[in-house]
Amino acid sequence: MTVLEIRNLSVFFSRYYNWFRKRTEACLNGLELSVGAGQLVAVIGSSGSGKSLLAHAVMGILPRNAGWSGQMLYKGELLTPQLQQRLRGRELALVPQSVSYLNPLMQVGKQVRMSGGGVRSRTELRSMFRRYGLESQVERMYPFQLSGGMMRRVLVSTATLGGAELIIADEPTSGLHAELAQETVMRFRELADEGSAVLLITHDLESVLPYADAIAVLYGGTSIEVAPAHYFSGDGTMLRHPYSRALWTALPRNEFTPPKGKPLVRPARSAAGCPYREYCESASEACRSGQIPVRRVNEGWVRCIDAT
Amino acid sequence: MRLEAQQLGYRLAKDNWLFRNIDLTLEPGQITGLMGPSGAGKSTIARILAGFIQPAEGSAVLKKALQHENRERSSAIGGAVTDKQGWKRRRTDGSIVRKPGGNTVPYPVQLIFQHPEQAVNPKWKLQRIVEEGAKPDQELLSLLGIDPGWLDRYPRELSGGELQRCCLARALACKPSFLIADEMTSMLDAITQAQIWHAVLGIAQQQGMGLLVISHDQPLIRRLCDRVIYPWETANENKKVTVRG
Repeated sequence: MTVLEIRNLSVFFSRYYNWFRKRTEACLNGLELSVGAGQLVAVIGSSGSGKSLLAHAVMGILPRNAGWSGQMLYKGELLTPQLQQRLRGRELALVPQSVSYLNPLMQVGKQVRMSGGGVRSRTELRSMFRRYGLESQVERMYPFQLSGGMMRRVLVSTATLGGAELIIADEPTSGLHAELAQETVMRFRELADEGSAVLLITHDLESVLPYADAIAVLYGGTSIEVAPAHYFSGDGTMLRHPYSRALWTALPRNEFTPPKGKPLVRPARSAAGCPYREYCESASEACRSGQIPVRRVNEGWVRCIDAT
Repeated sequence: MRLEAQQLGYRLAKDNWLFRNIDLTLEPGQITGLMGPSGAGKSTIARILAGFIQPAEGSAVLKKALQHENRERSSAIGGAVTDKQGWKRRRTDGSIVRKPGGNTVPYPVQLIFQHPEQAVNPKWKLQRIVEEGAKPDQELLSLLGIDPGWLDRYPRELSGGELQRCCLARALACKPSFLIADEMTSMLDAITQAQIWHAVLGIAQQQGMGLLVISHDQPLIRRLCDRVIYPWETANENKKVTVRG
């Protein structure tokens, strides 16, 4: 069953410049993504490709000057602001990127128990903390007393205590050492196996690869490829978008070579054409204009004209 | 120039040692990896070596070989505001220094922080931040993929990865003898990471700069470093990896 389906999602910000002139800038452009129950989909992409915005758009916590268009379906139902408000914290859970999302003046145990509006029992909390390797005295500590890794685990337990059906984790492994990162990803895998849909936003491809069902690659505010995890193996020839291939070869455990040519400044942000066209070796005139159609290939899909 | 740390120890409170008895030496032109569990004090070691904080015990010393005499001159690193040698801190992240009465001299050990947004003055535009130590040449900026348009912005208007590249330009403009990279690229995607490391390695080779790479990313460390040290597991010798990437 598809828990979350995103169709043609665009997010834009209105900004003022020269005092009174207003301009809207698109940050996400025609993004497509879907997650099924029991699935763990990893979302990877360059920094600034709009990964966090995607999470915030689904949760309905975009900043005030942002607007969005497109369709988001939660279990086939259109995700409206009212529905988002009703569901978030209960069926929709977010593990935020920054540890500053914790209330600095509240003991973490209390925060976790009160998450999502309801109050949960101490025993429930204790068993959850034990599962994440947090000792019972941590419950009475304040966020400033915890290390970065501990705060991260507190955040993860906040999101998972409520039995959410859709969990969006935004960079849950950054700042954790390899074993802890792996353990965290394994927790999300367990949650997926228990029937939740998990969207794992990360740039650490290597730690999520063994546990993910599918990988969605974001670039320049749009999703350019969704591929099963096993496509990311060998020399990456199974990947169909040139950006995904470049990302794979640039990993330290592979070639560790950046694509040749200009330094990567920023992807083209205009709505028209492929955002990677400036760096792509086989870019043609057709890549510059219009919306690049989504092409379904046996497993997953790709947004590239040249893909076979 | 050689950077030597002997018997370093740091504590948060009496009898609450973060680490003790840590020895390490950085040679010019050598790339050293430093690994250890989170919370073990890797960033604290970086701060001590770059002279932001004083160790509770032990010493970090920069040894400069004097060409004409057959001996070395050592100068201790560190000091909060003004230390014994008269180095004075000026920069927001403290690593530019001035000798009293003398010219402004960039500090020979530069540190790249894990969180760039905490290492820059939020009220300064990037232009001023990047030129804090010395004016970086255009070549360096383009090598690091810094868009000239960024320099007219404030730090909050750039993403973490973009800001990190500016911090790197700031440090490299000073032409340091040693660069300490504390999780420098952990917030970047693989392509940008590879790009930045290739640029830094090129500069290090060209200038004979010594590098200390602190990272959790084992494949990255293995790829980059001439040697890897695990100061917390000195007993466990077989964990020492010596691979040239």
